[in-house]
Amino acid sequence: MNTAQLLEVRNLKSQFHTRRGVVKAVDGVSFSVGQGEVLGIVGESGSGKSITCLSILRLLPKPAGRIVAGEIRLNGEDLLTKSEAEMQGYRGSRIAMIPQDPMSSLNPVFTIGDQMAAPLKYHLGLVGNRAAEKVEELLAKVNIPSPKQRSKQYPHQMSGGMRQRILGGIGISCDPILLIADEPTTALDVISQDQFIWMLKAIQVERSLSMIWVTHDMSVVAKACDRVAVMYAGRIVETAPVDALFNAPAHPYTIGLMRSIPELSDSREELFSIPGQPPDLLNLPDGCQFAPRCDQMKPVCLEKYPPETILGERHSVNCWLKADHD
Amino acid sequence: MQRYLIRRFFHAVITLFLVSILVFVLVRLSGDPAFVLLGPDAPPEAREAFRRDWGLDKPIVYQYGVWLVRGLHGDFGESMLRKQPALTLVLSHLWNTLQLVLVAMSFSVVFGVAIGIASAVKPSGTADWLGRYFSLLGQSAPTFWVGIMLMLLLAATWNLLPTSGKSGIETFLMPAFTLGWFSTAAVLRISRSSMLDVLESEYIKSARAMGLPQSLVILKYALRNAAITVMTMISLQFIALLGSSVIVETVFAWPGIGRLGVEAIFARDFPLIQALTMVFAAVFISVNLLVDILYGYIDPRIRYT
Amino acid sequence: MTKLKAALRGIPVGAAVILTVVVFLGFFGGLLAPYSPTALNTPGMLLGPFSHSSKGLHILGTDQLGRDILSRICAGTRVSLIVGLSAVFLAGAIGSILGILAGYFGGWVDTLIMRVTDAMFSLPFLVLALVLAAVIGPGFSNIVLILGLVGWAAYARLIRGEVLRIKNEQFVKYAKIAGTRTVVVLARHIFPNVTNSLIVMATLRLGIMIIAEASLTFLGLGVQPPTPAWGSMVAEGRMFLSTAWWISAFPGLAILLTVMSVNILGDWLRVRLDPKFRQT
Repeated sequence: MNTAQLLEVRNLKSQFHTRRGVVKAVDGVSFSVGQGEVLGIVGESGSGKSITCLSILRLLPKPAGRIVAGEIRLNGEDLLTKSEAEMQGYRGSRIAMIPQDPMSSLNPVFTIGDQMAAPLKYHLGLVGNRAAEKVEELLAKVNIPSPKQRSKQYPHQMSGGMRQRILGGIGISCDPILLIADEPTTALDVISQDQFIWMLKAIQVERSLSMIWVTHDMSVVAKACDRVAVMYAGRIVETAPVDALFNAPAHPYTIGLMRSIPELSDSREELFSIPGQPPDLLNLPDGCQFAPRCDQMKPVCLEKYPPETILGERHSVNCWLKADHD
Repeated sequence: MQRYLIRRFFHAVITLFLVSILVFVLVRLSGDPAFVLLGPDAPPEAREAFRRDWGLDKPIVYQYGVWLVRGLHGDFGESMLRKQPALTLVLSHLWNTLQLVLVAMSFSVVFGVAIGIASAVKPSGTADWLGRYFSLLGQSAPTFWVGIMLMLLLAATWNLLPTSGKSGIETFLMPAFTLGWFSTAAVLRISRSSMLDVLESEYIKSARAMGLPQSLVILKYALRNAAITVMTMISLQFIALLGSSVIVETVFAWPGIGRLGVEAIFARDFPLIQALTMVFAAVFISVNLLVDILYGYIDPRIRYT
Repeated sequence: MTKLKAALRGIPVGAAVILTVVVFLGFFGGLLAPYSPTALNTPGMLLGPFSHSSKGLHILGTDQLGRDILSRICAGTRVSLIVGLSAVFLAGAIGSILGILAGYFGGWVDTLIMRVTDAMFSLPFLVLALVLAAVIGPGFSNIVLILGLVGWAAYARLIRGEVLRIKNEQFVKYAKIAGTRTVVVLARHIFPNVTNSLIVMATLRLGIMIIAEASLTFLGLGVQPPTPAWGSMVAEGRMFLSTAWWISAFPGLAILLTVMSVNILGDWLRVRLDPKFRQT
């Protein structure tokens, strides 16, 4: 637990100041990613997973978005103290992101080759033929057939799956030390999803790349991640190694998520879903945010936020039900 | 791309043809040139003679046929008013108008695009404020009045510029400014809103996530994406400028087709009106065609569909 | 009362005041004017602002026939407003009907109407108006007709877009499933939902119509004398520019202020009625 982690996030708080009030999108989040490790961040829409990633890159939409507290240490250095110019140097080269929507994340009026070559030029200084070669190399790496022809084509001439793989290629192009994938498979069909996950997994293993994989799909977690952090209403409620999460989920929310996964062998008639709605981020209640929906809620759950309880090897949870475990 | 262009060209020719028929009919409905040119006091026999001279007594379809055939040979007849070959008259005046329009357009494009983009990149900055007020004024002030007020100030009162006619560079200034004024506002607004839209898009956000420097992101990427809408507006403005030239040329006595057109319409000078309309139609159809070509170049989605 | 206050939230006060004055003058201009807008008074001609003639004080001066400029401007308000509003109404009506037909029925109806609309867009407004003015002739009602016939294209395009969006909504489908006659579907379901955009577009185009009328009148093809109109006042003043600049200046200023108020209020209305309405 004390081996130096690649990325350490401590008590991160990111907020949006809107006309209607302050939205506490990320409200005290702490986690770490080790060398060569894949951390999954799971949660519903609005749980704060994407904002966490944008915060790491310091790309929150201005002027409403602000990081108001916390530390984000990459190899010991706090990213929140860096200047914008330094962050620009980090983005794409040391920390890279694979965005969510392959349809709109590529510029429609420039060729794939042009777009892939841009970070190569700015971070690695590659131009001309050397850049073109590297582009073809990358396209081959992400399983795009006929890379030479494809690099001269435009995004609209390719399928969604191919575009997402290209975005993956752009992500790894400058050999980052941390790769963040923000729900990269959400917009794809099931077959493309699988292709993408296995392709990225192979690259990750080959390069011992540290990754954060954001998703709301538990099957992705099972295939791609080593450890998982479960987020709800802007906080992490449980962190565990993948096996432990699937075999012995501790937090009622996690248990609910597990139950919602339909299984082929299931004889149940109805699909399970957790009753209730996620809370309004403008008016977060005191105490545990999940309590109103929890079937094992106790009075203390509504009053105070539960402390972190260690359950086992790198497995921790924030829940009053387990608080006496310690 | 080629099929796209051929289709467009075909469209253009058909439109030109339809316009010619429409104009021919409309113009003849508008009144009797004999009446206007010879005056209401002229004896009916004189008017009859006039009509016979100009072939106006024949059936309309015959008249159209004759006109069409001659027109395809470049002969648009003679202006009733000025007794010169209509086509040459129109073309020489057209050149004057084009010069004016090009100057006005350069002014409005440079100014409008620059301020529009600056105000999109830095909302609530000086450029934004300037742009907003300028654009409101530009849209609200009638062109003819702006021209007259300019004349009042710069010519009548301070004697800085000549009031009318076309000779040296200084004669271009007031008419071009007046002409370009209204259109600057439109170009400004569209540049600003188009740029704002593009800056919000996912692909620009991805470019930032890749760590690409801000200046590159804006100047190379965003501009190219915004260019498409801006170009459409600019081409629309060219047409609008040609239209407004009617007013500006009247105010500043500029020898262009706008002023010629007004004269021709008042006099019911059929050959001249027809020649004017055909040339005019040809001009804007070519402009549209040119823009379509440029479109295809800038937006690859059109090229490959 | 509170409902009215809520509806008027954020209204640009200056513009609203000016426009109210203008509308007021439009109705009562003839009566309120200090002097007769048409009576000649040759001895008192070409007097500058704030000068006196035998009749009294002329705040904005007199023109070449001794008529009080302020009174003529007041009287001219009626022309500009009525022509402007009527033209917008006519163009809006034609455009909406064509737009609804094109959007709802699609197919060759749509193609035909859109082709015509495209053609109209590629021709300059003023030139078309000029040609029509030559054919139909000048005059008050003719001008309304002409401006309406030339200006419907923008409405058609907008309304068609709206209709395409609406016709795929659930309530329209239910109406069709229930067997409602097409005309009724159009009138009761489609039309009420496009009125918002229609109103916004109309306010944006009113300024253009007012200027168009003034321009045509300036050229001599619009409203004819002796009806006082701002455009013809500016035209008459051209000859006297160096000696009596006020004859052209003030009527033009009236046009500027009116159109500016209309535009400012139009922008406010646009934001109020639909904050998502994108301006092109």
